[in-house]
Amino acid sequence: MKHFSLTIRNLIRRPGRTTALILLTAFLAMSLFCGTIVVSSLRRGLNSMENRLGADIIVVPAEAESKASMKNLLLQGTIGTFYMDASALEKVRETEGVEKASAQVFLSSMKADCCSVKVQIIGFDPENDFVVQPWIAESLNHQLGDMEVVVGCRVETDVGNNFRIYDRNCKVMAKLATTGTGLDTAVYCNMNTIHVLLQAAEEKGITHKIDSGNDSEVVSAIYVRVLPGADPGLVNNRLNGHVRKATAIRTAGMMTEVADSLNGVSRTIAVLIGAVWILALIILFIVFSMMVNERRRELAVYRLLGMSRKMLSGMILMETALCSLTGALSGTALGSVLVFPFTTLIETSLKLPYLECDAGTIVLCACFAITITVLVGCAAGTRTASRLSRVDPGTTLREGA
Amino acid sequence: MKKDVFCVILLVFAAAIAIGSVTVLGPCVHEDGSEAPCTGAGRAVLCGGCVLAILAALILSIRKPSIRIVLFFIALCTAAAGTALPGTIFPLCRMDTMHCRAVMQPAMIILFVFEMIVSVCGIAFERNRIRREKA
Amino acid sequence: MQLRAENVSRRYFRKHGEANFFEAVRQVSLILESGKLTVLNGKSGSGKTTLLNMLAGLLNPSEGKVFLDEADLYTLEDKELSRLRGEKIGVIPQGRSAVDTLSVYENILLPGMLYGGAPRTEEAENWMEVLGISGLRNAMPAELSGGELRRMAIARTLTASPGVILADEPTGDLDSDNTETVLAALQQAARAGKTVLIVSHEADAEAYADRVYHMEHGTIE
Repeated sequence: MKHFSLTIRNLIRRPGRTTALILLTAFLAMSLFCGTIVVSSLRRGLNSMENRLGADIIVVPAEAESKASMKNLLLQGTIGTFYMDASALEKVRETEGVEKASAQVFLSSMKADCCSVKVQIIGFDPENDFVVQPWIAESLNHQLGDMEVVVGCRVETDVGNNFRIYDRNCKVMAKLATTGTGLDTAVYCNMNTIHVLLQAAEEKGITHKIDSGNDSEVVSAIYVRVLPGADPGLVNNRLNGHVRKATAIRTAGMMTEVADSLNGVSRTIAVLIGAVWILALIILFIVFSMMVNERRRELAVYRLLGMSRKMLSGMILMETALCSLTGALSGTALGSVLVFPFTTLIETSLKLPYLECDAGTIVLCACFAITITVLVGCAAGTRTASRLSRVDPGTTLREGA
Repeated sequence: MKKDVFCVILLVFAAAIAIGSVTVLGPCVHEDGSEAPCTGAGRAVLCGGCVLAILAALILSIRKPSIRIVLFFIALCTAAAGTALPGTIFPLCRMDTMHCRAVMQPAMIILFVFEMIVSVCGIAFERNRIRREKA
Repeated sequence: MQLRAENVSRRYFRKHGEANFFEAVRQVSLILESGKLTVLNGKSGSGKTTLLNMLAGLLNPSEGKVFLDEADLYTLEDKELSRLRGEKIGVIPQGRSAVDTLSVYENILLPGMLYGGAPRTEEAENWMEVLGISGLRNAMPAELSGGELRRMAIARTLTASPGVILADEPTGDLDSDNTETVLAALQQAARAGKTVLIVSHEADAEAYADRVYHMEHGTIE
């Protein structure tokens, strides 16, 4: 029987010790894999959010909760319904430093037939929009018509289906690609459609706190792109001064806040992973130390029969490497089972943009977790292998003779 | 004890499915108490879990390997059907962020898949037992 | 093959007692010729096992040299010495010497295959038959009695068929029938040209010996 089959026999016929080593290394690999995937997905979500925002400044109504609502809408898809006078759009466009401005109108459905919860409906102007339209153009090759909608990837409906909102039928024309932000749960339509739906809501007795009276003269948010070379901070201040009853929010600032939260979460994950690793490594060292006494006699027999020190430490290291590799692969597989099916849960719990990594990144994270775990496992076993290979067969076999 | 390892694991997972389906891993709950579209799926998963638990208890009480193999096979088929219960056979809510889609569906599919794996291991173990007893 | 010890001594450091060190073996010279069965007897604690371990290349002498033919064992690298021990020197130690994770049959085949040789299955079957352990082929060492383990260790060495066989109390744990069988087998090995040394404090082995040495207080008389 060659050394490899000897190693396999040693592992199989000591199921308790082998299982303990595999479980420990599985735990190490799982924590590392899950941690790196979550952090990578968070960073990807942040980049996606930055790309999707498309605007330098967002102008919202002046009420205190509007700013928070806007942020929550973008991050978590929390329903936001706030309105300001449509004349704010012209004022924004007239402000010095503004290159483009595009308005959106928000509406919440009332338990749409799809979902038994409220759905965020966002009306935009396809002619002037530069935030949503480029994104929609990736999935729909013509402009959105009246009573036609485009849905975010998280809305469970198919292209071509009818989508009833306030008893009005809208046709689903496309489903958008994942962004990892709150926009994935929204439904998009043009301004004519949103006004029809606003009217339908009124007919059902559902008012939307439109203070200014006529619902065709309201907007919820105005997205602003500044001129190249212009200082967004300066333009932001001008907008705050120029547009009454409205607040201008710099998206860079919003992104910085989100990035800070993300860094905080990343740090927490790093600390947790560190704690798990320290604990597991301590246990690993204890297991290996116990192995020294447990296996002295067995290894003394191998030395007696002619195994050199190098062969013996090689055999022990191979056992350790096999256990570590098995554990690392199992841990990574188990980590996948925990992280990928529960992506939505992770996203909603963290309340941050979360976009699942692409296949390449996943493979990279898996290889990283497996490699580090195997290396650490082998490093932990090296000292034991060295000690055990120096066992004195003559004295050891005589003990308990 | 060694002979019952797979039955016990089967029972534990079945209990997790049944108990989970009425607690943290269950369908969406409306504030007004009305039924959500996914309530049916929750009940179906509960039934699946109970069936698996009964099968596991039967396997534990029966000693004959050939009968155990049959029962494990039934458990395997039940678990396989169970994976299709939330979402495929019984509808769920139509928003990905809803509890039924975010938690219940993935958790139950994973648990039913574990049950399938345990059932296959149980069948293999009992067949090995028959072979060893014959030898 | 000739195994030769020249003025070997072995000292152990002592924490307690009258002197700082204890000399287990004192200036022993010994030649073991091929084709001869040598018995080394003496009381417990006389240094027999220590001498055997030095002859086997398992214990570095404090003084003196050990030669296997022309090779000075303790000048060799561990790799070479281990290979020599694996291929040319067979040791049947006093204590339990089974690998617990291998079956009886696997234990018996182990030495011959450490350096890539073909399994000596025929010889293994033969020696298992002779020593009466054929029925224990698939048993694990934990299931064996002391006597059965001893016979397994003997079968292992005889199967490997090294040039030198060093047996430390090979008939301890054995009944009279098995004792006879074992001693006859070792004598047969010597007649076949092997160099055989039996260390024993019992008198049985002397009847099979070509030469008998007596060891006392670390020296050979």
